Amino acid sequence: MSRDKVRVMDRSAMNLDQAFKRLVIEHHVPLRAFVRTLGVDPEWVDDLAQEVFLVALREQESFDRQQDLGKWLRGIARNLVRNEIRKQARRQRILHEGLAELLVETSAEEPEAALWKTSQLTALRDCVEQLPAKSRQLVTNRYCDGWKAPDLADNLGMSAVAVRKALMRIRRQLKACIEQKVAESF
Amino acid sequence: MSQARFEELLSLLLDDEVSGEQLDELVAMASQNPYQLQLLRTHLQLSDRLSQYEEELRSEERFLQSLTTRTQASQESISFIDQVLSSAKNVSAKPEKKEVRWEDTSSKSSWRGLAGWVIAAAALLALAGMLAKDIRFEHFPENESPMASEERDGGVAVLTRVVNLQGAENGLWRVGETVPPSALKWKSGLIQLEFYCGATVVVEGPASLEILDESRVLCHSGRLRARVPEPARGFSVLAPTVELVDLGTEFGMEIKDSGATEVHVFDGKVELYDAESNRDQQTRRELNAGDALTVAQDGASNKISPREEDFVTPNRLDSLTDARRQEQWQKWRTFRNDLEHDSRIVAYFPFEKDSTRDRILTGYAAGGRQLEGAIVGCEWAEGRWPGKSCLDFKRPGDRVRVQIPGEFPSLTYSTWLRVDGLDREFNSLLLPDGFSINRPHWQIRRDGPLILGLRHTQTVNYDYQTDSIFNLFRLGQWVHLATVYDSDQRRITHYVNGQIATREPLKNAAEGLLSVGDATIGNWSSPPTRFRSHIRVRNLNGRMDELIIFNQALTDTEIQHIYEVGRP
Repeated sequence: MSRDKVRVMDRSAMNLDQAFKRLVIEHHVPLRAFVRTLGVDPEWVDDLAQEVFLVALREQESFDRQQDLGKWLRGIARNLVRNEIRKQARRQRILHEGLAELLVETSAEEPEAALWKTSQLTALRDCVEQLPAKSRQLVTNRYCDGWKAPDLADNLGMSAVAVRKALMRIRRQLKACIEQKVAESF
Repeated sequence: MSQARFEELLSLLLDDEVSGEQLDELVAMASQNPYQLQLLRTHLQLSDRLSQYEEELRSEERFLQSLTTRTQASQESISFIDQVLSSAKNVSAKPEKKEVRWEDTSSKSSWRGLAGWVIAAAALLALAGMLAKDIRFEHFPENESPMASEERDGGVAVLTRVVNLQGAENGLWRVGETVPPSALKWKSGLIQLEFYCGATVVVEGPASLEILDESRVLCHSGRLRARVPEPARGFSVLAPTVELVDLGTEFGMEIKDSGATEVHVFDGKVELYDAESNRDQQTRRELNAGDALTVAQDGASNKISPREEDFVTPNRLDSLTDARRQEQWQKWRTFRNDLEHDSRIVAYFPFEKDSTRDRILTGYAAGGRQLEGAIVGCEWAEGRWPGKSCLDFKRPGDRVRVQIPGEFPSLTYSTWLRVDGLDREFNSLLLPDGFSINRPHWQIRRDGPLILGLRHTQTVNYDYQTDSIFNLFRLGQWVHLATVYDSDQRRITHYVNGQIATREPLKNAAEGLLSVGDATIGNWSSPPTRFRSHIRVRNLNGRMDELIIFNQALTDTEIQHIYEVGRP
């Protein structure tokens, strides 16, 4: 990779890899979550997010310095998902055509500020770790062990409906908690 | 009702099995109701954030790793295309047949599997290198990013001996260097390559080789001797008139400029095939220990008498290497004795062990003054030459405490170093205590750059740094580092192995005299402050053999000289 391509992401004349790495570290958390909100299959979210960074690396000359990097990356992600919807052969990376279409075409220029800005996991971490033990356990089983509602229901002696409702409630609580923390930090 | 149904569908999507019909229904509802659409987005986003937080497979580290692999793959394919384009002019010199054949004979299992196409890209790059003729020897390792160095090894062999090498194309070849698939060409001298498959090959120049992979080498000219132990069976040498496949043995080959090839088998047996026959069984011949033959350019072969002594063995190369090293060491000793009396030295530590006081690092300053460094923790170890001592810095407490008085408008730092690992965010070479104004911090950052860190004023700090110079492939090798703070020219220059790595103007805020004072070699002593009660560890992991500080800015030529006389 030639040295002269470094400029965009790197204002301090370090090498490209470091500049690029910094960019990725700064943006990957919210970007991956954003890709998910475009209707991409959870299994393929990281794959597509990586593609966003690869495109960014390739197209860095087209990046306008005035623009904000997160916005630029989100734009690339939208275009990739649009291609995904269009191209029959690659359909597998989205969950459902109608869903992806709706989500891409209505996705706001600025996603929810609180969730985008907390790119480091700290706010989320603090909130998750403050959950009551039972809720915390549910989060682990769902997101770490990857169990879906019916498995969780069997394991916990609850109904699948109750598990799904509990998870919805936990996410709501977490959202409120994160917003609170972000507001406090300003 | 509609809201409850929406949430039910949403929770099926997020935490259960959802059908196409249910998704159709969900989409229909959300597209009519902005609130529901927002809810959908929020829960998708939170689900993903939670999964990133909880799911180990989605950790940042893994994400970066797999992104790195993909970046490299795309860069390799780009650079492959560049290579091919730039070599288009040279192609006619090489027969096209060969390209096809190399692909055909690649039946290795590593060509398949997940990483297959990355490896394929690397192999294509090697092929492109052959077309381009002058692929840089250091193509892979030197350009490796710090991100990449942890997971991928572009090498297929290690260069383990170099004796009297002259006329080497593509720059310096250092012992210990990892060699990727590439072309090597030199006028005279001997090198020893140890291939990853286990074969050891000594090649005598003038020679021209192309290393294809970990068990195949294409030899255009030169004289080589290969020792192929059992695990490396199948190691092959492609010569212009013959292809040799080893069956576990020791053999010699001489490829003359005319293309005629001599094969001598010293032990075991080898198979020979006609060149470019794709190992056609009809052309197969076996040679046994004591056999020797010559294959002329037209393919005609004749028996000849074996000449084992013409082919240098690894053992013989060892003793040649030792002789050359002794010579080099002697050269350095002369330099050392002169330097001790150089009026420009602020501190000179040759790292020579004094067995009567083995916790003292003896140094010299201008005017015949002696300096004493206090060794803490570090062990004495073998330095650049057998018999030459150095200090091994390993544990977090290891250090040498020194006092270097004086104030200087300019400074030059020089050291010989073998870095074994970059374990800390900052890895100290020489750090004055604390970080006060005009007391430079000379260190290496974890991701590889050499840094001179300066506090110019109370508020202006700046790291003058190189690009990353350390990666997986340079660890464990002796390297010469030098840094010059030149107040006349107002610039900072870093040198690696005698060559300029970066040259950067001093910041406007830079002024006044520099000092070192109480300082630590290979570690840092920072007094705890009100804000930071714990000690930050900056210990070096590696060996240091020689440290010089001059009270002047040395020239490029002088730095080059220090490197030349000190090379192991």
